[in-house]
Amino acid sequence: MLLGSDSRDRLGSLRLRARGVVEGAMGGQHRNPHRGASVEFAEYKEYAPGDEIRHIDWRAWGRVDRYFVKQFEDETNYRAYLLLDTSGSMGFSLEERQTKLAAASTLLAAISWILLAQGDAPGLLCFDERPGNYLPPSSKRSQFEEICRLAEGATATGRTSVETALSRIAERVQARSLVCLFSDFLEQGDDLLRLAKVLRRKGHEVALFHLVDPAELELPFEGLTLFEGLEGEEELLAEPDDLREEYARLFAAHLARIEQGARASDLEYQRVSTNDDGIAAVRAFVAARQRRKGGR
Amino acid sequence: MGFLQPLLLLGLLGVAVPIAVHLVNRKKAVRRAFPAIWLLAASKRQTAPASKLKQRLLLAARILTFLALPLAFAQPFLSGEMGGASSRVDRLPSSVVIVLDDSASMSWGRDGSAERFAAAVDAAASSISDLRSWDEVSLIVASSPPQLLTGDLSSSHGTVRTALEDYMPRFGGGDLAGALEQAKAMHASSKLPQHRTIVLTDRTQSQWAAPALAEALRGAGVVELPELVEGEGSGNLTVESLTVQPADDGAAGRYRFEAQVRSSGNTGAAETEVRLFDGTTPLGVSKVALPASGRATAVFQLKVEGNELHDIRAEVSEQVGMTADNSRHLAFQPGRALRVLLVNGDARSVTYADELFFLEHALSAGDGASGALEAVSVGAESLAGQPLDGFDLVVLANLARLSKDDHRRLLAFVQAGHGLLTTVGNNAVPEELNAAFGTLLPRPFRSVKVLCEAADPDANLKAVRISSIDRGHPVFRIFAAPGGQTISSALVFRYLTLEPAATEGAKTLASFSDGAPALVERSEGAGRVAMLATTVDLEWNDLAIRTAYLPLMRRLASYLARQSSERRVDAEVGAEQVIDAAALTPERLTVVAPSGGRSVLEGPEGRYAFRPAEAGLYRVLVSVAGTETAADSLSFAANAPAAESNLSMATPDAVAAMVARSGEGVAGAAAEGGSSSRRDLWPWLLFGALLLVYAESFLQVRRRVWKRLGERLQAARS
Repeated sequence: MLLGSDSRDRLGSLRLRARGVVEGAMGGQHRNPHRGASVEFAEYKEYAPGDEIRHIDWRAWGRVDRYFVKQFEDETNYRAYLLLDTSGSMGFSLEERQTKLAAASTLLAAISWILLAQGDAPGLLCFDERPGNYLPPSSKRSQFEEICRLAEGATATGRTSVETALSRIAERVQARSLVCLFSDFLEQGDDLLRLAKVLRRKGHEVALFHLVDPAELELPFEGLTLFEGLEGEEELLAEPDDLREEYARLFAAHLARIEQGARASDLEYQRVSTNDDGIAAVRAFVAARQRRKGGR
Repeated sequence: MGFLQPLLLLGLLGVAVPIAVHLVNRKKAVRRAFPAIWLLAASKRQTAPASKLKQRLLLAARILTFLALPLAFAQPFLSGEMGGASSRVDRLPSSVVIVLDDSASMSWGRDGSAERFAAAVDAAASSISDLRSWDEVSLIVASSPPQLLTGDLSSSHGTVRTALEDYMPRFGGGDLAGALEQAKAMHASSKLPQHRTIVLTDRTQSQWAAPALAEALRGAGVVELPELVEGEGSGNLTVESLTVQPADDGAAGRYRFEAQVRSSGNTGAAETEVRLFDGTTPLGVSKVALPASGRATAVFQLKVEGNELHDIRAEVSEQVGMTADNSRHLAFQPGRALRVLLVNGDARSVTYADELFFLEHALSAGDGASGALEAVSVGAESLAGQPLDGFDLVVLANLARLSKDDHRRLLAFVQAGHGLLTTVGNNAVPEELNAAFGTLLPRPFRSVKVLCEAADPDANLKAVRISSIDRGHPVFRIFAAPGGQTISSALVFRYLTLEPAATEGAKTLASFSDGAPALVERSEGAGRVAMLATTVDLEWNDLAIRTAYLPLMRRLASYLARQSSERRVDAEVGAEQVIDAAALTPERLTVVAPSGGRSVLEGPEGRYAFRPAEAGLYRVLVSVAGTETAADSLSFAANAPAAESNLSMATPDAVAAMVARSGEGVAGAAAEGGSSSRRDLWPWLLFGALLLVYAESFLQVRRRVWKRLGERLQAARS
């Protein structure tokens, strides 16, 4: 189980609230832009053919002899698509630390738990260079176990293609949803940000969870080293001591580019180190969302 | 360019180590999986030129370090020629052996002080001061035998200087050749490139003319011969010999001491005073006329009481030149009777007809006091079982034969320094005598010559007489005095002729009137053999009833027997003296030096080797059954070697020629320029290697370390 009872307890009071209005198949805590049959009255509307007869306010008809239909502020459940990168680079770890894939699985499990606890429907898509296992969003009770089972069973292999995963989700998602992407974003180019922007423009919320291993920041190796890529890249013979300074500069620039791009596209961005406590990272993510919501 | 330790150049092979390490390291790179490899590749593209340069610099630093260190350890140098005394600074590292001559001739001085030795010590000290710290030095004293004062070659110059200052010269015999051989052996053990032998000697003929010296100089490296004295010494007085004989008047207890004095150079004088001492007690003074470069004999007729051992010393009053030979010691024990073994080859029952009748009486005459002879007679048949120990002289009277065993014993007896007198008679068959006696005879016999019978009325005409004698010889010196011609009155009727071929060393002391030898002597080993060509009784002559018989026989016996005691004076300072105490069977033997020092000796079969270190009387003590007693018969006197008194120096040409024959070297006063010079390179190589190690460390240390260090420094400043 990715999320232990302790972790669940720590997440118990959290409520993931959508920043915007989302559409859902079941009533929830999120406001629905569509008027519907709900307990909370919104306004009257003169009956027109096609309206639900059961929504006619018969008391109003008695007073004014006209048919009005009651409209309510309806509430909907929240669909969330959790995209987990299972490419080879996500399997990296140094010494006793957890892999980036394991750290990402913990994060998505925590978020799934929160969503399910508030009646929302999380789904999961594993991907590398192609979309892999897919679990449609659902708020059923067994959804959490399903998500955990798929995440735990994922192995880090193959190349990365975040764009492919985002394209697949963009095709499937009809209602506005939350799209959480868990990856190390080691792809070159700007396709990721471009597609994320597209999703955002469609009204979806997009959150990027950027997994980073400390060794990627520090390059803490000594002596002549033959570096092997985890996604089929060519080997590289180098003296880490010679590269460290330049590498650190380039890596920092890469991180900054992802983060700044995300911010500029109104994407939520959370960088998570494999050293970090995953639950704390989720709490920080939720707190940041609430701050942004409050600020809006 | 040369190397002091060329073998260490093998270390240059170590240059393969950094290259191999460099290559192996590339193959042994650690494989690591890493996700952001495209970022690493981009980094490498940026840093590749600097990294490659660093790697090449590292490899170069390591290779150069591995080259520089073995080169430095091999101590390279550039050699060249330097002139003048200033070459000291750049002289090649040398093994220097100082050979210090402390033979007796080095005690020469104008006022009796040892000027030559003092000059040699000063020169040695100066040479030590001139050494550089890496030069190795040792000091050998050219005594006999040579003595290594400071152990092996050492760069501890202070030790050598201290040994030089503390050394007390022996002024005995010298062995310059032996010392040079030792110096060569020491040079051979040194790894330094230059070998120098500094010989501090007065270059006297006695040392420099030694045949072994030329060979010893060969291979001794650069030989330096500093000039110790300007020219030869102005002269020298030497007491060449000091002997003692019974006094001319034959009185008991009276002795005649003769001191022969020699003058070298222009030191002669009309009245040269010679003093005689018994220990420190003056006995007498004699003035002799000593010509320049001549000899004179000072004679002292003295009565010496008792039978104790005396240290008799003759000394010239004027201390001139070499001091060591201005006096001479003699171990003298007057009371000891000479013991003579008489072997009777023709014993008779009628007393006066016995072969030894007259001889026994002649030798036993006197009151038995000091200077007496003790004669013991045995028959010829008893000779085989008769021990010879304790006898000074054996007289073989008219023996017809001699066993091989007796011949061997008698030969050893004589060679040990005793005397043997052979007389003939009716038993004599020349061929048998020659075969049996062999080397015990001064000359071989030829035949019996019969001139007449004793009863022949014309015997006066037919017989021969002893007409020719060596009047300077100790045996016949007394017959030079008035009345001495009585020896010629004796008639000899029969005698043995000798082979005409002269035997080497044989000396005829007396001859018959027909020219045939009557008395012949020869040295055999340390002793003497003599033969009388006629009888010692009345069978072949009437000498026994003449007045000359008694003094002749006694002096002849004393002369031959004294040889065993006189030999003691032959000991020379520095020369090994063998003390034969086998007859005394001591448990140990102690020699007391003139200065009081005691030496306990051990030796095989009662023979003890001892080397006197100073002139004077050496008393010998033997321990038998736990009791130590004086063995006066073994005591001896040691004097400066006679050869050392010859102060004439080798000519400069002879010295130069000998040094030239040695193959290399510089003769003369202090190395007169022309010595090779040297520029050391190894300090620079070591310094360079050190810099390379620093550079290698600097390049090798991780940038992260430098970064952290910089951060800490910055933090400390803030």
